[in-house]
Amino acid sequence: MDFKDIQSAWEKDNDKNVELPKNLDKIQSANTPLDKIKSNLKKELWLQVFAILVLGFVPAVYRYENTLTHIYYLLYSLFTGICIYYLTKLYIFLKRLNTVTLNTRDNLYETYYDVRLNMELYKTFGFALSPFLILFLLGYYYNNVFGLTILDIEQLSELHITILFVVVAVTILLTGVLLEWWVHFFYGKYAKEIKAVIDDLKE
Amino acid sequence: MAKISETEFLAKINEHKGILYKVSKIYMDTEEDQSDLFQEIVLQLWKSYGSFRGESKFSTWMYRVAINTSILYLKKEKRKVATSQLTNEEVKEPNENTDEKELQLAHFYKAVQQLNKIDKAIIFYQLEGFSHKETGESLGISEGNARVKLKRVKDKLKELIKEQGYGF
Repeated sequence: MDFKDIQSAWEKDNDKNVELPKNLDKIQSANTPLDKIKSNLKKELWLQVFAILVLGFVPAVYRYENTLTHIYYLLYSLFTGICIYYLTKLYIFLKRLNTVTLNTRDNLYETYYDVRLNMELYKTFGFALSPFLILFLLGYYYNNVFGLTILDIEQLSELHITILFVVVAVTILLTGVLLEWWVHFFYGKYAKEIKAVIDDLKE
Repeated sequence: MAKISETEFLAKINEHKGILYKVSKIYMDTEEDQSDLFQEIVLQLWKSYGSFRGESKFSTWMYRVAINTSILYLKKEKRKVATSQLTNEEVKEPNENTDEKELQLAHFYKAVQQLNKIDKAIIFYQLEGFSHKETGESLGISEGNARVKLKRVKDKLKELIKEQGYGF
């Protein structure tokens, strides 16, 4: 056999039994790295929206006093504003992810850098939210364990305040580590796969 | 480009379904995976059809979308193990009813599974009669790079088919 034989066998290979799908809407598309990224991101966007809504009811559920409620909603509005900004950007990214018509190299590069850029955007989103998360958790903890609010901070001892700062610093650090892992697990491995194909294209 | 209905689109694709299935056979080794990839290609063609401006031939545009979709396609997790077992299977020896061409193709498809995704695209374009220049343009690489890669892919395929015990 030589390549002429393969060429001639290839030309004669006409599978007449191939069936086209009858209805394009019924095809489930979820098996490309992009589909996986889109599906993970879509799930997360809905979860984030749900979490924002739930957090809005915290003062009512825990019957916060007026002053604390005002402080809570001040933080909550900042938190929601940041979430809307990032979620909109991620949503636009989701809609844009479809460039199969370019030549293979441009298609792969565009997709890869878009995914990488948005992985970084996702990380900054997480970091932007972490101070709010820490404040929410601390507020909840002090209020429920010591019956104190953020307004009673002067009642805490120096040791207690030092521990508080250490806990905040460690939590931010852990958030960073967790975010890196999360982004790698849900998105990074697919980006890596695209990168491997780009490497195969090089001279 | 004027809007096209789903029925019209499917009728247009129907003329080229054989070649789309060949792409699936190059990129996937089990019938189930080939069928899934074939459907994915049709879906991506439908989704991207709005961007086809008629500057190139429909078939050239279609090949590009089909190859790009296949390159980014993943095997379903559950099937990965079964598939790796399948690549170790022997190609059935010919009997009286087996056409020699079918056997050659079977050896070719078995060997091609061991190439990387870009090499598969290179060999596909070659078999479809693309020049080095056209292959380079479709992949976004230089003509020289396409030529060098094709030479390497052919050598690799030759070795792989020989390893199957088939004369090359």
